[in-house]
This record gives sequence, structure tokens and C-alpha cells, in this order.
Amino acid sequence: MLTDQSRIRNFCIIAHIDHGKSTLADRLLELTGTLSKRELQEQVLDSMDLERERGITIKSHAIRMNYTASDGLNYVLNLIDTPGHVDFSYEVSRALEACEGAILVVDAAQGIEAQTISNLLMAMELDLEIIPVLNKVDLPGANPDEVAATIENLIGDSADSIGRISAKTGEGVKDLLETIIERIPAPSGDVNAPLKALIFDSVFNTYRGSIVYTRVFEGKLSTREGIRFIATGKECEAEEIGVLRLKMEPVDTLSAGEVGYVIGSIKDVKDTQVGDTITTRINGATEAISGFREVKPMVFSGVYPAVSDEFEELRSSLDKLQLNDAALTFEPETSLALGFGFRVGFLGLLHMEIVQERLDREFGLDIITTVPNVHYKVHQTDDTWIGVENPSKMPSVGDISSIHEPFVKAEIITPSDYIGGMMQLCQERRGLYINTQYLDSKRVSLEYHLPLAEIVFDFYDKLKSISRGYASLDYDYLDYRAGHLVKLDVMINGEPVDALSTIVHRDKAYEMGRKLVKKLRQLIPRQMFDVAIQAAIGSRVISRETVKALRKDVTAKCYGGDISRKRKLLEKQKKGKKRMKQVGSVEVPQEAFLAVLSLED
Amino acid sequence: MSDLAGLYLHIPFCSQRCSYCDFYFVTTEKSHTGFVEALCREIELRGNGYGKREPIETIYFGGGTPSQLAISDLDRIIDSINDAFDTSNVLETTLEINPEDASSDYLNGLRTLGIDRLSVGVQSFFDRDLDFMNRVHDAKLAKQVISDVRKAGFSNFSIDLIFGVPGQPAEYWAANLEIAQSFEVPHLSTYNLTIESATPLKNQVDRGLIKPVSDEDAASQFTFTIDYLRERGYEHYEISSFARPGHRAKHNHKYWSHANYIGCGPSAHSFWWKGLPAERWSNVRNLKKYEALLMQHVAPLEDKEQLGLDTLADEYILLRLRTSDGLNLQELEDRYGVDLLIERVDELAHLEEGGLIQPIRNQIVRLTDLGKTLCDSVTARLLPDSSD
Ligand SMILES: Nc1nc2c(ncn2[C@@H]2O[C@H](COP(=O)(O)OP(=O)(O)OP(=O)(O)O)[C@@H](O)[C@H]2O)c(=O)[nH]1
Ligand code: SF4
Ligand SMILES: [Mg+2]
Repeated sequence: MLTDQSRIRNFCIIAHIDHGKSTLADRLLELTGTLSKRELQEQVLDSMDLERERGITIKSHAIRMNYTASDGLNYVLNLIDTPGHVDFSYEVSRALEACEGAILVVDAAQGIEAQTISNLLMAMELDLEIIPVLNKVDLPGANPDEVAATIENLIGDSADSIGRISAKTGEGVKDLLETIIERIPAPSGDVNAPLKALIFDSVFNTYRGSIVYTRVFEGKLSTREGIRFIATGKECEAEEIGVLRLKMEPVDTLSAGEVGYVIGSIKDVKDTQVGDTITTRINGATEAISGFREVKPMVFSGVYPAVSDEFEELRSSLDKLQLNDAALTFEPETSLALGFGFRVGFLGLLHMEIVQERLDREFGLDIITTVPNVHYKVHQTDDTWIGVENPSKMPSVGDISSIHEPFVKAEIITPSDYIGGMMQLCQERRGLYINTQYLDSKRVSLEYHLPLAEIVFDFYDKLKSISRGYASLDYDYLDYRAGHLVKLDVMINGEPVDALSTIVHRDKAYEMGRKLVKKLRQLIPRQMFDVAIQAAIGSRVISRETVKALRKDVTAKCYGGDISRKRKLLEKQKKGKKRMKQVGSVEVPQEAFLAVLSLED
Repeated sequence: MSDLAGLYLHIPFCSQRCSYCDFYFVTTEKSHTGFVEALCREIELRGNGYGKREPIETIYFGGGTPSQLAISDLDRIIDSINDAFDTSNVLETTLEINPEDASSDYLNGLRTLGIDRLSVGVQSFFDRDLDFMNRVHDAKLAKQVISDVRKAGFSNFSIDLIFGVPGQPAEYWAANLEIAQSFEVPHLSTYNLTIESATPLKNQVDRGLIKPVSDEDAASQFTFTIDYLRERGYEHYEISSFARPGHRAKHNHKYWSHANYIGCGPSAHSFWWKGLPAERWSNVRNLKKYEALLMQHVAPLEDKEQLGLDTLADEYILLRLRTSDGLNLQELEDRYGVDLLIERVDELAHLEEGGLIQPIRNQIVRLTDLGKTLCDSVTARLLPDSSD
């Protein structure tokens, strides 16, 4: 039986991080009876272990609900919960493409923050119906009147009409459901037109291969129908189609307006690309739905297997992970110190951390990552341009005419008390001041142009600590600009360690070199000989430290023939050694390759 | 020396506890009868286990303090050994003795039992050190015992000395060595004081009452010892052992060369390799349990492991590197199937370059004096990958 389009509502929940999207989803699932009391747990849609441990959403999550509204009619609601962290805004943009409306959740105690605005703008660009709600009104610190006024300024909804809810207690959520039915338009695609279904996400399943999540815009799809992926041109059969409850629930047909999943007889994970359009093999559409804006990784880092013979496993794991994480890019590279690995592109440091953890947990891979860096464009003296994603591949100084680095347009939203601190921070990070705008009497939006390289590391932490947690940041790629950049190399006992090279601004090179070398001295254990650690720009050494040799490491006695005890100690040491990388004769622990990330002031 | 087995006997009695000691012993036992009975039973059990009357080459009474046993008890034990094993090839019978037990009667008694080597627990010739260690004897006795041992006719004996003693005046260690060599002691075991867990010393360190000697100082005392004794005609033939020519310890050599040895008594360790896998086992570390098990003629086993060739190779490397005879790479390849010149050629080159091992000659890897101070690190670098 086809679902009547007029009874479908597709919407996502968007907000700044931690404003309560996933908790609101819990309440909606509860109110609509989609989950029983027993199935319900806090932020139930955050189903990955990592999400539960960290208490944040990393992946968008779609789920279908049935609801009998006060008009007495039955509706089908497809909800997509989205992540709030800036690194995952790409997840939000794809979820928005599958919907007619968005609920913009705003924490009534925190007020408008950076991703409130950036996500709102994305939804507006797609012409979605936006329903703002004030959440957490149960909190004593909530300030709904003031925040409502700010929202009114931002989108024009009258402050009085903005719903006030507590996703925690459920207050106001019932009314919100009615508003959703009332305000969000039903989908309007032609059920009889050729099939056009947008793949907005996919996931690799060990038993079933790749599973794609799709929003049908036009036409319909039935089980075992032949399908074609318009962009890749690959064809297969829709072995199973269904809708997304908490588990997957097979159905016979998905028709225009619906959201569901398709499992095809798809062998190669690369054949199912997020953003591609599915159509039927017979009488299919020829033109794809305009896909997603291409996502560009912001930072790059070397990813190497800790045990060198796991290179191929790393490759296939990255392939599978990419299916579920379209923002991930990778290319093989080699390092003298670390062997064969990949240069992997990430959207930010949190993204990098998550990928690293997922490789470990979902694929059982032990990996070493190197310090992340941005993508540089180098103008060479022979007037050619090259891109550099790995500092050790930077041409030699004589061949460089200029190095260009990516700049971002950054928006910092902060309580006005901290404007001074924020401006000083941006100054230190080579920022160009653009604009200040008061959102209301207490909150200010600062606009800066900043080198991306200056904000990927610890900028966000600094911003949070200066503002006691109240400021937030959003940024978007702007352009490339020439800068006084130099390559900082590290040598261990005279041997350059390619995986430790970084690109830094000339004015900061000396300080950076000093800190880096000092940090490495702490990380490299004492060995049988002195270990000299040097930082250099070109051939000029700017800093050096020595790890003094061990003076004594000898067991006094193998007591009364008790050799086992001694052997076991040594075998433990041997295991530890396997996790070290050999640079010349020096054993370097894996943490050293990320030393730059933990430099103290 | 042939590959015949060694026999170790652990005598778990002491009159008081030395502060650094983590050997197994009891200080409260009045009567030794039960133990001697149990030990004789174990000797019989082991003798039956390893062929009828396995030939042995060395016998070693260690502890604890074997000199706490009466001559008659020792006599009984030695009788059991003669019954259970083939002792016609025995080359060396050693007994550890503490200075306070070394009366001339006792020493003469030992001689008549056929004990021909003594290991004397001197530790230091200074009262301050002996107090610190909570030893029973004093400095005067420490010196006296050496002449007494000689007088009793023991020409082959060893004394233990400990260096790296916290709070020790700088000149004491050199003085200890000087006194030892002035007595022309034929064999010296010098141990770096190690702070073992569950010892009174460890407790004092944890409470901040005692500051351990720095690695730097311990290393320089160690290298000083090597230089000093070598100049005076001692061979440094194992990390902690120095001998005048002809006076190396034959029993300990069994440990370092993967020869077989059987340990009897609580907490004793054994090694047996006649076909693979080889075996190591240890006895229960509890006197009452030990006695009870043997009353029922049950082997007093605590732990047993089987060793494949990979593990044996690791052991061989770690043991041989401690000796001045060195690690014979040919032997390692023939007997253990490990070709270190292929597996660890880079490491060997680095170590030689860094002055930690001597240039390899006749396929033998030997530590330099610097290498000896870092013996465990060098070993860790040379263990092959193949084993785990
Ligand atoms: N007091 C109160 N706490 C709430 C309410 N809604 C959410 N929270 C709490 O706010 C925190 C964040 O809630 P989440 O639902 O995980 O927020 P989110 O927007 O999904 O976060 P991300 O997915 O990481 O962006 C949790 O500790 C919730 O319990 C509310 O209405 N009242
Ligand atoms: S060092 Fe010797 S005498 Fe002192 S307690 Fe230990 S075993 Fe007994
Ligand atoms: Mg969430």
C-alpha cells in the first residue's frame, strides 16, 4: 500500500552542539509510541559506542514514526537527528537535503551560538520550513524571553510564537508535534514519474555489504526491481528495501516523499556513493538530483599501521569507513620513519580523532597518526604551482617563490564580557578583524579572517577557556593567501624525521622549534646512547635538546636459577619495542609523532 | 666441563631478616627435622623421576641460610643425594654460610661432609652498612671469618659484597674491595643492591626514609669494581661474578649455559631440557605446604612451563650476554635455529658502533664494560622477533 504523500512529514533537528537535539528526538519517539518505554534510553539515536561515550552525535540518524494528530488523521514522520559539532556540519547539510523542514533547537540557557546560525543558514538556503524552539526551559538559568527576542531578530518569527519546550521533561513537545504537522509541507514529488531517489547516507555491514539510506523524490521503487546509480552508472537489483525504524523494517515499495533504505546486490563499496541518485534500470530517469556540495577536507595527516604488515587491511578499512563517512579522503604515501601508509583528509581534529577511534574499534587496527596540517599551494620559481598536503614534500627553499595557505571566515559568538580576550586570541593567531555585530544586549558576533592552520589545533580550547565555555566558533573556507611560511624539520641523531616536519609561520618558527624539541625530549625514553634532538629550518639548527643515555640497566642476579622471571621481563620489554618506531638506531614511541599537538606554553 | 646436571638445595631458614632480601625463608622455625625429612623425600622423588640415579656434577646448598642446619642434618641430606643420584662425577659442592655460623667446629664438620666450596655472606666490612642491611654479624667477624675459612682448609671460597648501598660514605665501596683482595679471596660476587618489592627496604624507600642510590652512582661503582678487580688479577666472568684463575663457580655455570639443574626445597627452581619442549618449574614458596605435600609423596610443584625453541633462544641470548665467554652465534644457530647475523645485523652494527659490544670475533658477541652497565637494554635489542 502506498503512503499518501499528504500524510508524510520529513524533517530534521538541527542545533548547536549539546542544545538537546538527540534528547528531543527521544521525546518524539516516546510520544509517537515508536519505541516502548523499555527500548527507550537517553539519546537512543546515538547508537555508536563512541557517541554514547562522548555524549555527542557524530552521525546523522534517520527514523520513521507514525502519529495520529489532533485532527484525527494518521501521519508518517521521518525524523533525522543531526550532529552539532562544526566538524560534522556536512552531515547536517545532507540531512537537510532529504527534508522539507527543520526544527531549530536553541538552548534557552546558552542562547544563540555559532552553529545555531550556520545550520540555520544552511536550512534557509534550501528553502526549508524552519520551526525554531527554545529548549531546556526547565533549567533555572534559562532565559527564554531574551533568547526568543534574539531569534526573532534572526529569522523574523515573532518571539511569542516560538515554542518553549523541555526535551528532558517533555514539556511542550506535544504541541511541537502538532506544529510540525501544521507547518512542514508534505512532499510533492510525482509518484508516476521515473524514479529519482537521493542517497543521503550509507553504511557498510559485514553481512549485507553496503546499505544506502535514501529519500525518494519522484516515482517509486519496489523490491527486486533493477536499479541504476546515475553517477557511477553501476546497476544491480534492489534485494531488499525498507523503512528505518530503530531497526530496519523491510517493505515492498518506497514511493515519492518517503525515506528508507536499499540493499542491493552491490559488491564494490565504491559503487554506492553518497549524493548519487538511484533510478530504475527500466524507464529510469536520466538526470540526477543535484547532489551535495563537494566536501573538502580541511586538515591532513599521515595514518600508518602500527604494525607495518597491516597496510592492506588499513586500506580496505578506510574504504569501508568512507562509505559511512563521505567526508573522508585518503591517498597512499610513504614515510622513511613510518613506512607505508595514507595521507588522510579530515574536516577537523574531532573528525580525525573519531576516524582514528573507529579504525581501532570497528576494524581492530592499531594506527599511528602524524601531526595534522592544512593544504598549501606553492608557487615555484619556475612559475608552476603545486599542492602540498605533507610538509615533508615541501620543495626546497630555493625552488619556492611563495607559499599560500587557506584562510577561513570565522564567526565567533561570545558574551560581550569576553570580546577583549577573543580579539587578543585572534590577533595572536594572525587574524584579520572584519566586523562586530551585537546579537542582543549581551551577545556579540565577531568576524575574523584567520589562517586555517592557526585554528585547527587548540584554538577552540583556548576560546572556550577564555570565555568559560560560553563562546562558540564557526568557520568556512574563504581563499588562499600568501604567507611567510617555513618548513620546520626535526632531526634525531642527525637524521631528519620526515613524519615530524611541520609548516609554520616564520615569526613562530623559533618558539615552535624550541617547544617541539623539548616535548620530544620528554617523550623519547632514555636509550643506550645520547639522543640529540634538533629542530632546523633548512640547514639552520634553531633548537636542540639531548636525551641523556641510560646509565644503568642490568639485573644484579639471576637468583638461584630463576630465569623465567627475568625472561618474562625482557619479553614484556620486547613487546613494548614493537610499538616503537626505529629512526636510525633510536627507538621513538608513537606518541612522539603527535607531539606538536600537545605543546605547552 | 660436561653437560651433566647440577643439584640445588634451598634451605629456608634465617635467624633474622636482612632488609633487602626477597628470598624465601622463615625466621621462626625452632626445629628443622620436618624440613630435613621433607627435603630428603623430594630428593628421592626427583632422583627417581630423572632416570635412575641421574649423574650430577655440582651440588649447591643455598638459601635462606644453609649454615643454620646442623652438621648431622646436612649429613642426612647428603646421604639422600648419594642414594638418589649418581654422585661419582661431582666436581664441586658449595654451601652458603653466614659469618656468625662459621665456628671452627662447624667448618671442620663441613669439610668432613665433603663440602669443598663455601660462599660467605660478608656483604660489607663496615658496621654502618651491616646495620643498615640488618645483618647479624659485625665488621670484625666479617674479616675474621675469612681467615677461619682458610684455616679450616677451604681454599676455594667466595664472598658476597653489596654495592649501591644508600647513604654509604663514598670511600666505603673501594675500601670493601681493597679489604677483600688483600685477603686474596679466590672468588667474589658483587651485587648491586636492588630494591625488591615486599621487602623492608622497599617499604622504607616508599615512605621516603631512604633515598636509593642514583643510576649514575651505581653504574660508576660497578665499572670501578670491574676495573679494580681486573687490575688485580680477577676475571670478570659474569655480570656479578669475579674469580681468580681456576676459581669460577661451576654450579652457576649450569644456569648460564642452559645445562640441566634440579632444585629441591621450597621456592627452588629447576630446568630440564632433554628433547623439546624443555621445562622450567618452581616449588611452592611455603615451608608448611612443602612439608605437607611431601608427607604425601606429592611433588611440591608451584608452577611449570614448557619452553619451545623460540623461548629457549631468548633465554640463551639473555644468559650468555651476561658472561665473558659471550654469546656464540654459531651455537645459537645450530642449537636454537636463530641466525642473529641475519635477524639483528643492524642492531649488532649499532651496538658495536656505540661501544656496547666488542667487535664480533669467531662468531662471539661479548659486552664491553659500558655494555655491561646496560646489559638488559642490549639484550632487549638483540632478542629475535620470531618468538613471542
Ligand atoms: N535540563 C535539561 N537538559 C537537557 C534538555 N535537553 C537536553 N538536555 C541535556 O543536554 C545535554 C545534551 O543533550 P543532547 O540531546 O545530547 O544534545 P545534542 O544537541 O544532541 O548534542 P550533539 O548531538 O552532540 O550536538 C544532555 O546532557 C541532555 O541531558 C532539557 O530540556 N533540559
Ligand atoms: S640475605 Fe640471606 S641471610 Fe639475609 S635474610 Fe636473605 S636469605 Fe637470610
Ligand atoms: Mg545529538
